[in-house]
Amino acid sequence: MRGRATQPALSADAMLAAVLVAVSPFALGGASVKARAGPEREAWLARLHALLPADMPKRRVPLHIGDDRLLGGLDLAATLHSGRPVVQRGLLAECDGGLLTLPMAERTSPGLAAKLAFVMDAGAVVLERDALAERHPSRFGLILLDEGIDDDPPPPACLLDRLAFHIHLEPPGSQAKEPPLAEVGSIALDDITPGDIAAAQGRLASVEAADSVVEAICAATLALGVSSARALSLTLGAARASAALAGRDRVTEADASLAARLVLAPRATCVPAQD
Amino acid sequence: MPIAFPFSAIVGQDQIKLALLIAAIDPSIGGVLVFGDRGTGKSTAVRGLAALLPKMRAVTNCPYACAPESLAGLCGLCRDRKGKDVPKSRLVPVPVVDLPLGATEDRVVGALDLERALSVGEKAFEPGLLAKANRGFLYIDEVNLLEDHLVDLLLDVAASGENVVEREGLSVRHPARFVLIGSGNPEEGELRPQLLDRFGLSVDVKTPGDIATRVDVVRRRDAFERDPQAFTEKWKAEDDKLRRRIAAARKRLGDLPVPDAVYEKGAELCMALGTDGLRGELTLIRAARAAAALHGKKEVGPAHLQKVAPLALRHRLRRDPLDDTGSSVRVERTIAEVFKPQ
Repeated sequence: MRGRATQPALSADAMLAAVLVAVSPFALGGASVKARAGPEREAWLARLHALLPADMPKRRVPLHIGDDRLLGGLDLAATLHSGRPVVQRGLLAECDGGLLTLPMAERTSPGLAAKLAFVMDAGAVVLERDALAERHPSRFGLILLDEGIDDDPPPPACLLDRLAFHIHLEPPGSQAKEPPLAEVGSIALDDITPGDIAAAQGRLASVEAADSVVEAICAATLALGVSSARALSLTLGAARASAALAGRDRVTEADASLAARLVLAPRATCVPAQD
Repeated sequence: MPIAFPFSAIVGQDQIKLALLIAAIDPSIGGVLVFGDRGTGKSTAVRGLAALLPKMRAVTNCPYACAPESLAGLCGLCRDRKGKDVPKSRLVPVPVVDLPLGATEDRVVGALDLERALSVGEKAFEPGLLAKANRGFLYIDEVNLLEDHLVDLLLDVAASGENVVEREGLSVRHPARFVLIGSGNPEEGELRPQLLDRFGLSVDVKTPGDIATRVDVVRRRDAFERDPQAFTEKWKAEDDKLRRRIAAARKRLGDLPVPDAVYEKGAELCMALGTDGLRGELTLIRAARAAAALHGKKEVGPAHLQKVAPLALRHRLRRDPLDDTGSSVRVERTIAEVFKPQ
């Protein structure tokens, strides 16, 4: 116990995902967190927020958000007051460089999902509304809060495909299995500080991945029946973030298998054949 | 604008690349629909094409980029100017305009120029995305999620090549000829048959299934994301070569003969597949001609027909209640039968 006994216990993999999102929120897209509203989810979010810089924008997107607030539009009052069109930037542009949380993500409409996906790909809001044509930079990490129960449909597939991690936080009492890994490199997961994250970010661009690692990841996607090429890139990105966090400048087999477990396993559509 | 992933660096995806190049060589083919799996680089190919297209000559300061040498399809301003003197023109990039979901109707069709109305009390027209896309490409990602009222107005403009604006006290008409490019995922909704019909070619994208190709995809993507400038520079020569091939193919297109035997094969194929109307046959022949031009041939051959047939015909099949195999499979099967060596 590291002085966190009062906190609900989270699986090491869930914690690891939070740490990797903090290291590389834009390239890894973010995470979808399946859990009922409750202390487990709050603990996971609190851990993620604690790892991010205090001045990083953090916003919630309500499901009923209108396109004018999501993407931006004409600021009517200011326009009439000044006698010339005045733009009001939308939430996505305001959250540039930040973290966006979408509660009740399983209820997201296809339209909202497609708009978010477009902005994630373009890194910018392409605004074509209310006689305005502008481009506002918008890069963000996205956290989907999935409260679906039993047979509820999952959050939109176009968003899940763009997020590295699909986490399922187990309710208390059901965590039977021992967490498989509780440290990255030699740092215990609980002891990672925002300083460690910043150091990893500085190292990230120079982390190399050997051909054998890329080939192993590709083989793993085929064995698990994961067809999306995006999942491949996200796995490689997660492996690289893991290496950066451990202070290495090369992706090791351990980084790759960790990334495969976190990114690919939840996407698996078939069980790999046993040799 | 951010740097686009170079078109020639895209691994595999020969069908998308061929369809887009055909549309770039002969815009009258009428658009490309790219439907398929997630994460297969549908948008990447379209954005790559934008960087690849040879520049075009346009009248200076014309909001619709009218062609200076053109006699038809001019906007009102250029029509009035014509005959008086040769208008000044310059080379401009071919527009590839995004129609993002969430766009409002006023920005798509054009609307009252708010700034001028407010500041000088003047009623002026502010051209929209349809004007910007004239002589270029209009790209709609997730086209099956586009709102119905926008689909309605697109259908009319795509068919007539003209945008008629009657709103906010304005009465304006201007040329809006563009190649419509749509991409989407069939799981998220069907396309209205009328809109489907506007696309000349359709591509069914699949994720590559072998390790070597997938490794290449990831490697190049990774190299690009880490240093877009260096990566683009590395592929510049290839892109330049392809650009010259497009320009050469356009020149060759006009007088490329189509032998009777090719017309007959085309008709035979369409009859065997039971495609709706003559549009399919016409598109098939045009696409084959563009493919032959792209490959520098002097004549259109059956091989070109065979190559473009899945693109031109897949989305034109009537539903057969006795045959529930996918349309791609049906087209492939029929092509194999029609082109069987005798």
